[in-house]
Amino acid sequence: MAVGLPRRRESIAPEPDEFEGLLAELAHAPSVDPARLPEGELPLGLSLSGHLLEERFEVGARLGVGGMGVVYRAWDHRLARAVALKVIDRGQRQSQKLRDRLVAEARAAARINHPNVATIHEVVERDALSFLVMELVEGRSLRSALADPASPLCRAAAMCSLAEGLAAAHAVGIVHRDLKPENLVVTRCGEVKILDFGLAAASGRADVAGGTPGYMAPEQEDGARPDPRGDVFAVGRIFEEVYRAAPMPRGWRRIAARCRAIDPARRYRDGAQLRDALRRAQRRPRLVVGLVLTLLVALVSAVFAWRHAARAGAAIPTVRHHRVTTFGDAHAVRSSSLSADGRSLAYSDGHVVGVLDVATSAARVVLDDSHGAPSLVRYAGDGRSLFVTVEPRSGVGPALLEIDVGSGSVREVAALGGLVLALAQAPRSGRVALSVERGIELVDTKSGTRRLVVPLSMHQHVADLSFDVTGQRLAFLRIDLHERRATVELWSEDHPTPITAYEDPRLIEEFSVGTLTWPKADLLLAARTQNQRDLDTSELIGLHLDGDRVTGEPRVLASLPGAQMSDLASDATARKIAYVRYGARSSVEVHALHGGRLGPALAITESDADARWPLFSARGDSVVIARDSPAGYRLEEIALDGAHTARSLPLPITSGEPIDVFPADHSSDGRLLVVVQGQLPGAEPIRLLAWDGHTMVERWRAPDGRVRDASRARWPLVLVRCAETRDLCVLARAGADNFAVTQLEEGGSRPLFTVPDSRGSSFALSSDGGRIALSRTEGRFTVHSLEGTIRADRRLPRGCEVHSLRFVGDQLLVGAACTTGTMFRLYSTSARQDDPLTLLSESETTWMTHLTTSRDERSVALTRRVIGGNLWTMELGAP
Amino acid sequence: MSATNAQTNLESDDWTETPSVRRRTALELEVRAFLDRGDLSGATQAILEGYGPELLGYLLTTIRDRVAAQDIFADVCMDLWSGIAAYRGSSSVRTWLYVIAHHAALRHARKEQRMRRRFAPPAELDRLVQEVRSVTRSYAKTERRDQLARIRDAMDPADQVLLVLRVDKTMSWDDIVLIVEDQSPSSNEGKRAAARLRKRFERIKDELQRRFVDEGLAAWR
Repeated sequence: MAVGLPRRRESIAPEPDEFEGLLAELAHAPSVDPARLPEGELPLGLSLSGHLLEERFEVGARLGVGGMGVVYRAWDHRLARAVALKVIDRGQRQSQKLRDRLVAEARAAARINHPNVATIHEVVERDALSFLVMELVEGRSLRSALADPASPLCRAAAMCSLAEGLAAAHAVGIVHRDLKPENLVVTRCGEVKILDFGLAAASGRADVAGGTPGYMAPEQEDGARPDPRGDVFAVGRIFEEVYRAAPMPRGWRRIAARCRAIDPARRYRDGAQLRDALRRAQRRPRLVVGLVLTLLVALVSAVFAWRHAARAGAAIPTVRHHRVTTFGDAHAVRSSSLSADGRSLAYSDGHVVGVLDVATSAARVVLDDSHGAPSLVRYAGDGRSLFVTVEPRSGVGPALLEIDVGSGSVREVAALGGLVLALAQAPRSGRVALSVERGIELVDTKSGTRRLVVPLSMHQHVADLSFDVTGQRLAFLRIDLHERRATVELWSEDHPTPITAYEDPRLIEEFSVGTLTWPKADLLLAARTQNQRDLDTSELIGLHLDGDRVTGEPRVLASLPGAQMSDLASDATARKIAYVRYGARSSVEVHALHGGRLGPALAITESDADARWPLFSARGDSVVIARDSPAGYRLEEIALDGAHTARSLPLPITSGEPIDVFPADHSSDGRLLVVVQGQLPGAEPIRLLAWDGHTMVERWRAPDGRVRDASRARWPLVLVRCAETRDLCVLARAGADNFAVTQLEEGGSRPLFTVPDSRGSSFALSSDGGRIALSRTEGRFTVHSLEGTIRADRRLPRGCEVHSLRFVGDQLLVGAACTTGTMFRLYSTSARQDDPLTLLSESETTWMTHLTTSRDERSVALTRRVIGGNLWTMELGAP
Repeated sequence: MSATNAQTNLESDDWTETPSVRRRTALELEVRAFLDRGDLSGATQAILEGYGPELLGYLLTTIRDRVAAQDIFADVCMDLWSGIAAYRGSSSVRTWLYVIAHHAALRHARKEQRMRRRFAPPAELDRLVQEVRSVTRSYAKTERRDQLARIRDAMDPADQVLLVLRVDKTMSWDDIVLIVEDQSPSSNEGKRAAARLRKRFERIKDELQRRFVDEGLAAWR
C-alpha cells in the first residue's frame, strides 16, 4: 500500500456504500477450481518440481509451458548432467495421440546429430507419466531475443546456424513442420538451436496435421505432404522478422525472398541448399571487410591499451584479501556493514547480528532472533547504533530495528510490509533507504514513517543502494530484466526523478552486478561477477563521478576468481573494503589413507547440488551421502565402482519440512542410521531411522526431542556414532552451551555425561566404543572414557577451531578452521595427551568437513566445499 | 474431538450467516467426522474438494505470480496430506488451511529471496518468470478493472492479504491473527497483534479511499 499518503479527510469521504463496493471488488479473490485451469497449465498440486523420476531425474524449476506439456530443468544423477524434461501435461496425459507425438518427436530428433539441433537423450514412457529427456539448452528463445531491443543479437550468426541445423535435419529426411522463433533458442554463443520436433515427420509422410499460421507454407496449409521446402518457407518468414529492425547483409534479401516464394518449386530445395546460398553470399564481403576490420581492431586495441596502461599504471592492482570470519554454512553471513573508522564490522547470519573487531576477529552478538530473523544490517553514521531488517517469522512481522551497539537495546523503527532486498543508512541524518518490491522507500527513523521515492515497474528491482557521505544523495543499482539494463542512478530530494549516472550493457550481458557502495563524493564502488559454467570471477570496480555522471571507463581495483563478492561496504577513506565472499559448489571425495597420509582425491560427486555427510557402507564398496538440492533433501548411495553409479534411498518423511537429513553411522547389526531433523508441526523435530537395505524404519526415539523452540531457526546439532566391535551407539547433542552425550537403547536413551563450553561441532567414538572425542571452544578437543573421565585434553594451534573429529584406530583425524595461516586444515594425531599434530592437508579456499573412514580404515571420505558466506576485507591503495 | 467442540469453535467466529457459511459449517463437520473416525485420507480429500478452489483463488490473487501461486498451492496440498494428523481442532479447518498456506507462502518467499541474494539468477530464467507474470497479469480490459488492478498492484502484498482475508473471506480478527501472525488469539501477544492488525486495516482503508478518489473511481462527498 502506498505509504505516506495524506490522512483521510474526515469530513469528506466517498459514499460508504460506494466505498464498500469498491473495497469488496478490490479484495475479491474468486475461487479457482484446480481441475479447470486453462489448457497448457499444469494441474495444480502436481508440479513435478522436487520429485525424483525413475530414481534418476531430479526435477527442478519449471522452464516453460507449451502446447503439449511442461518443460522442467532436471538433474540426471546417473549421468551427472543437467537436462530438460518435457512432460506431457497431466490433463492431456491420457491422450494416446500426444504420447505418440512425443515418441515421434524423440525418434525424429534422435536421428539428427548436429550442434544446431537440441539433442534428445531418451524418451521415457510410463502409464502415469511420459516424458522426453532433452539437452538443456541455456539461452533464450529467438522470439524473446527479438522482442528485446536492448539485447544485442547476432542476426547473421542466428540465421546461418538455423540453416545449418535445418540442413542436418533434412539430410536424414526429417521435416520439422513447425519452425518459428518460439522453437529456436539463441544460445549464449549467439547460435541457434532448433527445438520441438513434435510435429516433425519423415519427408512425404505425416500422421498429424499442424503447424503455426504465419509460418506454414501455403501448400502445408492446404494439407500437402511434408516437404523440406515447407521448412524453407518458414525460414523465409523468420528472416523477415529477424531483419525487421536491422539491415540485411548484402545479398541476403534475395535469398530471403526466394525462401518465401509462394510456388514451392521456386524455393530452395532444402536446408542444405539454403545454407550454401547463405555461405556464398557471406564469403565475398568477408575477405575485404575482414582484413580492414582486423587492422582497425588492432589499431584501436593498441591505442586503448596504451591509454589504459597510462591511466591505470597496471592491469589489476594486487590487493591483499583478509579473511575475518570462518563461519560454516549454517551461519553464512548474509549482510555486513563496516563502521566509518574501519575498525568494526557488523554482520548478520540470519540468526544473530554480531559486531566484530576487524583487527582481532573477536565478535559479540548484539541481537538474537527473538525479534525475527535478522537479514540486512547497516551502521548508523556515528557507529553507535545499527539498523537491521528482520524477516517475518511466526508471530513477528518484517520490521526495521535500531540496535544500540553499546547497550544492546532494541527499538522497532518501523513495521515493514514485505521483504527488503537492500538497505542503506544516510550519514548525518536519521534516514534509512530500503529496496523493496515496489521501489525505494525512505524511512524516517525517528517517526518510523515510510515514503516511496523511486517506484519500480514489475520487471525491475533495486539490487543495492548507498547514500553519499552527506546523506543527501542516494545511488542505486536498478536492474531491469525486461529491458535487460543495469543502471547506476542517483536520487536526491532536489532531483526526485533519478539521474542515470552510469550504464554499460556489459554489466548485464557479460556480468551480473548486484552490490555497490558510495564511500567518497567522487567515487562509487561496485562488484561485478562474470558467470561462467565452472568459475565465477568477481571484480571490484571503481566508478569516478563528476557531478551526476560517471566519467571514463570503470577501473578494476581487485579481481577475485572462484567466488562472488556481495554486500560491499567501505570505510570513510574508501581504502578498506569489507565484503561477503560466496562460493557455491560442494563435492564428496574419497582418499586412500596409507602411512598416516592422504592419497590423491577421487571426487565421487559433482553437481550443482550440495552433497555432504559421506558414510562408507559396511563393505566399503559404496558411500551414502546426503544431498540438499533446491528440490529438497535426499540420501543417495554411490558405488565406488569407477562409474559412481548412484541410487536414491527412500526417505519416509511423512510430515513437515525436513531441515536436515544425513546418514549417521552403521549400527552393529549393519543397518544404516539416518538422522532427520525437521520443522515438523506436531511431530518430533529429530528422528532416527534405520535402513536395512529394503526399508527405512524408525529406530530409536531421540532423547529430549524438543530441546528448543521449534520456531527458531537454530537447531541442535545431533550426531550419532556406533562402535564397530560392540553393540553400542552414542548420540551427542549440542545444546546452547554444552554437549550432552547419551547412549541409545531400544525404546529410550541413557545419559552418559555432559561437557560445558562446547562449540558443539563434532564428536567421535572409537571403533571399540571405549573413547569419545568432543570438540570444545578455543581449539580444544577432549578425549573421554564412556563415563566422561577426561583422558586427554588437546589444543589446536592458536586461531583454529575444531570442526570435525574421527577416530582411525588409535589416531584421531581433526578438521580445523583457522583465522591465522591457512584457513582449512586436516590434522592427524594420537588420542594421547602430548603427541604432536601432523598436518595431512590444508586449503585456503575449500573446507574439508564430514570426515569419515571406511571400516578397514584404509579410506577416508570427506565433503569438500568452497567457502560460502564469510566476511573478508581488502585494503586498496589510493583508489 | 467431538462435533460439539467443533460447533463451539465455529460459533466463536464472527461470520455472518450466509448460505456459503452454512455450507462451510457442514464441510467443517464432515471433515471432523472423518478425523474422528481416523480417516485422514477422507478428511484431506474433503478439505481439498471443499476449500481447494477458494484457497487457490486466494493464492492466485495475493501471490500475483501465477506459477508461484500454483507451486505454493502444491506445497499446501503436500503439507495438508502430511500434516492432517497434527490438526488439533483449535481453529476451524478453513482457518488452519489458511495458516498452512501462509506458512507455505512465507517459505516460498524466503527461499526466493535467499536464492536471489546468494546466486545471481540465470537471467533467462528470471526473464521467463517475469514474462509469465506479465502474461498472467492480463486483467479484463475495462477501464474500471484496469484501475482496480493498478491499485491492487501498488498495494503492499501483506496489506492485500489482510484485505482479502477480512473483506472477501470475512475472516474474524482471531482467525486472521492466527493466520498471519501465527499467534494464539487468546494470548496477550495475540490480542496485541489483533489490535495492531485492526489499526493497520483501518489505515489501509483510509489509503484506499484516497486512491479510489485519485483514480476517479469515487468522488468526495
